[in-house]
Amino acid sequence: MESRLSAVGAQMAKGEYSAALTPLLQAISACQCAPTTHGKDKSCNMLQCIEAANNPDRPDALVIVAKSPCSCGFSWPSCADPLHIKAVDLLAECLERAGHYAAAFSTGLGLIRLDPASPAGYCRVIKILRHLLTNYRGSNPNVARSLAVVLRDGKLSSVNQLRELIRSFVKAGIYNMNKYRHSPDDKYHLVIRAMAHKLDMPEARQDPVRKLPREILGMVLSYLDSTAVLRCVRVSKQWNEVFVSDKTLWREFRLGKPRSPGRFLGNFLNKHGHIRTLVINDAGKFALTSLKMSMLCRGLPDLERLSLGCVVPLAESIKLDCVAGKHLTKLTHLTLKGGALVVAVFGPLAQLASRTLEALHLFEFETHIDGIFASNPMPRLKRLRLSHQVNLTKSYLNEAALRLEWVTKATPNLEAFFIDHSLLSGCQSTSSFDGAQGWPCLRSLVIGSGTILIHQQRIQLRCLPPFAKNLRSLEILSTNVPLTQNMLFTAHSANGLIYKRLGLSEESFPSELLGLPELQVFRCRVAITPELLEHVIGPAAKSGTLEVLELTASSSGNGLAIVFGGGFPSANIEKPAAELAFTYSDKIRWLGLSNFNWSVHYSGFDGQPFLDWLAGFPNVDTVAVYPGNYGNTAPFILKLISAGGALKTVYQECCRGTDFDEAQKLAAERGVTLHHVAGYVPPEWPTI
Amino acid sequence: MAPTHISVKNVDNGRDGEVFTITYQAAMQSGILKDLISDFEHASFDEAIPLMGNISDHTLGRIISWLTIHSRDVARITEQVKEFLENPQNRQPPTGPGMDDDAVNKALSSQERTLVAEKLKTLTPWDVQFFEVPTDEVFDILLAANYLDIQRLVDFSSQTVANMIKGKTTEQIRDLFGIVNDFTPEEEDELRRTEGWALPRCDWTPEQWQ
Repeated sequence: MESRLSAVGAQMAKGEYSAALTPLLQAISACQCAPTTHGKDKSCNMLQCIEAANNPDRPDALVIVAKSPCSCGFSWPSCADPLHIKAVDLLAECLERAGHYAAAFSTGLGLIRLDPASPAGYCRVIKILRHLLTNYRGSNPNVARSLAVVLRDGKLSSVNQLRELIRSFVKAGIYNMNKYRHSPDDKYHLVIRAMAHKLDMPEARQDPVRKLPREILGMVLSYLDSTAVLRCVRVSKQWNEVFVSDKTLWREFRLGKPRSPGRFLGNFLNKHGHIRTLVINDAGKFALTSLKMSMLCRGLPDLERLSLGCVVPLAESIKLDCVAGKHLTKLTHLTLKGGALVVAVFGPLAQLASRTLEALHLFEFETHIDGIFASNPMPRLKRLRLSHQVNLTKSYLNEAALRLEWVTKATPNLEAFFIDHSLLSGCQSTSSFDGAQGWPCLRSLVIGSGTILIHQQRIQLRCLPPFAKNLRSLEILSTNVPLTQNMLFTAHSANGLIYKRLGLSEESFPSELLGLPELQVFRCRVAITPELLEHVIGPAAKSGTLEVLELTASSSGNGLAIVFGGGFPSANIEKPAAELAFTYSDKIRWLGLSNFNWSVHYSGFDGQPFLDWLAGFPNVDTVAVYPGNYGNTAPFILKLISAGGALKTVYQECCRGTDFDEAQKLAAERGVTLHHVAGYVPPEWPTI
Repeated sequence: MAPTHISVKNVDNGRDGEVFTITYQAAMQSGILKDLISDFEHASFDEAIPLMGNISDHTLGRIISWLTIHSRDVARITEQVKEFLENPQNRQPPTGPGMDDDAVNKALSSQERTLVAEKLKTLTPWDVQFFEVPTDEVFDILLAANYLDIQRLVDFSSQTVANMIKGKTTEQIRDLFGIVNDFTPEEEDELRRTEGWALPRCDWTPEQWQ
């Protein structure tokens, strides 16, 4: 049989379809199942099959028809031999190509009857129907004649019913194939699925929960977010069971803007008591009350991370009905965002969780919180971010200013501190930071933009505790001169300089400057005299630990009216190559300079002093330049890009528009990445 | 000696499937092929390695093309990450008092490992296109990848299925997978009350709002 079929295949390849019919029929009758033939008149076959396919109640009606005899009494052969099926399929194809569409259609139906579980018959039938439908307006007389025969024998009234018939066959085919199919690999099974997909039929869609084994399904589900999980739970009973039983899906709850749960919060907490991470980006609609907050604290014993954000005022002040040491005992990460929220919630939560907290982020609060730190020591706190958002029109400076002495005392083991948009004030008494150790473990300190030191007394006192000698990263992104001065001098010398300005003697206040030998990262947005700078970063540059260095060349334009001027000598660095020679190190990989477009360069600025300085660093691959907004700085950027060396990345903000396009083109040629950024933002401090 | 090319074919159900050939390096991404190749060490590699596991030829062909495209990914991405970490700005500052060079190096190599793992899990545009096929074909690929123990392909196809679900409302999910809602109205009400408040507004009809 196989050899006969290959002979037929060769004949078909030559286009002799009619001649191939006889050997095909011979091949089919050679099958072991000894098939008989129906005879010429196939109308009963067509009618029976079409009616079965159109039966909406029984998707497997075609299987029943295949097993029962024809209405004329002929009993159809039944055979699952793939060669037999292939032979009949070839017969139908030959008939189709020879133009006998009705006969081919009937043969296709016979193929379905031969093995209703094989998709081959369905595909053949559907293909012929589609051909008839797309071409019946054409001039081919065979198509018109065959179409008439099919419509007559199938007792169909219009061509549109044929379209429905195609869908019926696809549907029946997929159903029978899924239910009865014995051989999994069949090109036709893909064809029929693709057809269903193309016709956008529900049969093409498969339920992953049914189709995939549990362990694989678990991997899929682990990629879903909370909202998707909550939606999936409501899809069907089976989905509900699968999703509820997978406990790992419910550990993290990240909600955007939930509404108020009303009295159903209890039900929810009973069901999902093992939440470990709860994030509510906007709790405005959630309407936080004392009762809800207490229920959350009591109902979530495993809670480790809690992030709440809220911009609208709360309806009431929060009083928690909880016991410290019993509720919320595992909370390690707390993030609160929004003025009213921090005021209302931070105090009560700190009482419960201050002993376990490891990371605390407070954003956009307005009143001061140092009192809460005073009464709630946080011995395990490692990361602290305070972002104050001072509203200068609303609050008096003294009231809004933060005093860090209590914060420092409460957090003896802090490792990273980030403060921005805040008013700082010197501490009340000279001894505030002296008795305590300050922050001996502090390794990273970021003074973010918008942080300002205000003076309450004529004699300025420290606003930050003395640094540990092994501080690794110091980033002063604020442009406030007095604050920088306050940080880099110890209290004594700061006083000394002020006294000097006041005409007092200097001897009683020995100049005591900060030296940080283990510094890796140093950024400063305030111009510092080279002498002071050498004290601060000289040891680190010399020993080779310093890797990132960003400085500012001139302080012009940094003065803030509300601040009583600092004690710095004027600090314009005009020739960094000479003045900052102590910074040269082959370990530095990131070099930056801001505000170096000095007034003498208003026209024809070429930044040559910076390039000269840069030439002293053989291994710098990243440069950040913010020369200031005067004049034309494009030539400088072009020069910088073509400077060569190890340079790979340039951050800048002065080159815009067509200049930027031009620079980018050159950068691409040189293999340099050019970025346009307004300024550096510390990357490891995410918001909510 | 390791062969340069490997041939595989599907022999489930007592039939011989199509023979596919891939490079040795590409085949090593599959746990099961790795095991089979080391088992067959003594035999010649001229003959195709027989695979069980009910994988259709079509799916196997798709998986072979995926393996070929991704055969060099690990080496390439490791190199990229190493280059990325050479810049100290991109390093996580190793914190903690008293950290010596060893500890710093340890922290660096662990950061490198996590970065590589992260990058290996990210779908490339090529993969997104690879998965633009009917849903059940994605499932077939997922099942076959799981059988062949190709962890990355399992991850990718899982992500693809998850991405289909994400951002869709319950009704749209039912529509996507052809699922019939079999909850009674009372059960639906119960679910809506317990968890409905946490869902965005678009999930509800106005009368379900109270």
